[in-house]
Amino acid sequence: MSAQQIPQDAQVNIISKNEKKARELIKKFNLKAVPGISRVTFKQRGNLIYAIDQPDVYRSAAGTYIVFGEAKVDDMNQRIAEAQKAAEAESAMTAAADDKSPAAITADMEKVALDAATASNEEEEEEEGEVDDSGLDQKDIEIIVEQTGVSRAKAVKALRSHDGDMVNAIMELSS
Amino acid sequence: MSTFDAENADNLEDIEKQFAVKSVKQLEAYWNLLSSIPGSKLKLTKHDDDIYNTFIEDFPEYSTAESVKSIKEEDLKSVEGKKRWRAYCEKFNTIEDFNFGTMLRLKSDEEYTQHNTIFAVRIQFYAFEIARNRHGLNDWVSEQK
Repeated sequence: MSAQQIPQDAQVNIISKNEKKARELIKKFNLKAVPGISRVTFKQRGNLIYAIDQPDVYRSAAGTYIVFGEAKVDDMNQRIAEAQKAAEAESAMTAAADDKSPAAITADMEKVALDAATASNEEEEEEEGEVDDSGLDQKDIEIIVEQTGVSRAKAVKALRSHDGDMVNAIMELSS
Repeated sequence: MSTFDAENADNLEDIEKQFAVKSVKQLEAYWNLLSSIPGSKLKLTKHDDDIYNTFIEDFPEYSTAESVKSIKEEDLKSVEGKKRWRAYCEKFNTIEDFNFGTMLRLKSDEEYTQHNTIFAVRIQFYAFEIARNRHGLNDWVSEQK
């Protein structure tokens, strides 16, 4: 097709050949498009967040979701600002409509996870660097580092704030 | 910032969901720990010795490996059982989350399945799991591939 056929302000999604093929295949699996999703996020251990803005989301009858879009590693600070705005809007919304769909529950859980991540992120910055592990078991610290993949300083801090409780420390670091 | 009033709050379903989320997270964190480190080498808290020794003193019937390997919910939740456990719990009320709802396995040789899991408090979880770990009853978790 020639360039003139597309008006200047048209909403055109540029899709690569491979992706197009994949999309066509997937549509044959009886998937329903889920409209109105503005963002999908994946959270990896260690507060890494991959986000897809304006994704195309499809849902299968079994509840599996398929997401198309460009994933970007998320900037935490930007996310905090956005999350605060979104949280305000969302709390107004959830209060109005008691949404019990799986998506809403997932969204709720993500929000909580994000809040926790944000909180621990803020604390971290202050104490990074100085590692005072007096009174703690070296083996415990190693286990926590191994289990959660965080820095030694963070492991020490978590152990300390939970008074040496291993499971609680790991929970804090991996939430 | 918060306008939440604990005195007048309803049992909001979302809050209960979060509570379930937390107990499942605790279960997962513990299970991951057991999967990578043999339970007999594991320390759960700073107070493991204290928790265990008092446990054996207050509940001499659980002093053998065989007795903690498989436990009965009725023993924990009967009127008499609750009374004894309440007294035990209070001895450890300085430990973090000591009375927080926690999943406990009835049989140490099975995973957290629907029928093998009961609802206990954190200090009961510690008492039984520390005992099981010391008897090497949880080592199989890290040995399976």
